[in-house]
Amino acid sequence: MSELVGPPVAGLTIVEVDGCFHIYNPATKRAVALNETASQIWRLSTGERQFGDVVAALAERYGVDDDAIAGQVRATIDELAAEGLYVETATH
Amino acid sequence: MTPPFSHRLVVHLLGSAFELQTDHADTFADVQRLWQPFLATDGAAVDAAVVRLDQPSAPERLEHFATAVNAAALDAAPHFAAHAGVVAHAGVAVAMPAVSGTGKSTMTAACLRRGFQYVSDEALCLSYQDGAVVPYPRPIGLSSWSAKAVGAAGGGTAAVGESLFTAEDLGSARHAGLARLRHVVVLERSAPGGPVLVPESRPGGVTLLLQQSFNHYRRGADALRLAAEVIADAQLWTLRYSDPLEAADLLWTTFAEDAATS
Repeated sequence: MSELVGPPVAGLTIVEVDGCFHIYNPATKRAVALNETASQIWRLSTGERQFGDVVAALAERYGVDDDAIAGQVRATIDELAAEGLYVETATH
Repeated sequence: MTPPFSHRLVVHLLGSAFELQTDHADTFADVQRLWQPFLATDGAAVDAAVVRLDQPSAPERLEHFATAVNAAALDAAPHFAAHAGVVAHAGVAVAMPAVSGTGKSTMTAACLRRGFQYVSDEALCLSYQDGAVVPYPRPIGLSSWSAKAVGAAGGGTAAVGESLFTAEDLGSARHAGLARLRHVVVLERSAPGGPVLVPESRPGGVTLLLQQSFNHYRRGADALRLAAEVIADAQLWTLRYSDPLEAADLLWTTFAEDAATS
């Protein structure tokens, strides 16, 4: 099954400090702080990449197997979606 | 008809005006001295919130005034405002964000004893226009333990459970002129031993400022942008200490040099 990651919803305020994103969602009035890994996932969350492509890109960056990080990537994407930061699709 | 109060004055705090009304000459004089930086020069203000001080004792009257004007001014402040002690030297501001009861007023007072000038013991206020530090030099509230820890036991003006000090009472002065936030220090009381200043990664500073903010909810997106902007120009530290004056010495020797080269 294909699963695109993202894209971000419109209207977010996104700032970056030393490679880490902070995102303010006006719909929820909440600010979310992303660590370095979550920020990498956010960068790849353009709505044009499949979940497997995001995992593969991060695995290559950190020099690990896809299986080793797939669960963590899934959990992070689910958290970002739960914060209302992604456009809702059938797979989110 | 209730007779008018015999003493009145107006103070301006962070854009809000308050009119003190009291029949107590001692309280009137105390407020004049302690809130001197905020006194209205024309003596009157339109739309000033009235604060009547008719409590039985002078400490209660002062405490009521301090609490009432502080809460209202911070809530309505047109600036980003976060709970923090703030000191400065030569245009370089050092903020110590913390909730009440964690030692920020004591550390602020200790820093004044060791060479810094006063900005606030309560709030880091930042202009949304340019990120500059907006001074909020309210009276510094110190418990008897805190006053003793910074060598000011027996001084100040009595309020309830604390004494109120001006920067001058502590041998310092208010910081004059523009200040930019350059250092954010997380206070961490530790076991006895020399103070240690540990550099931290800056992204945590954005979250820290937002968590300690009084009013970021009013301008959520702007507050995030501003917090990120000022943190990007600052250094984040953790200060582990047991003795406030020793810790203030360390901050002074570490940051005064930075101020001199800025």
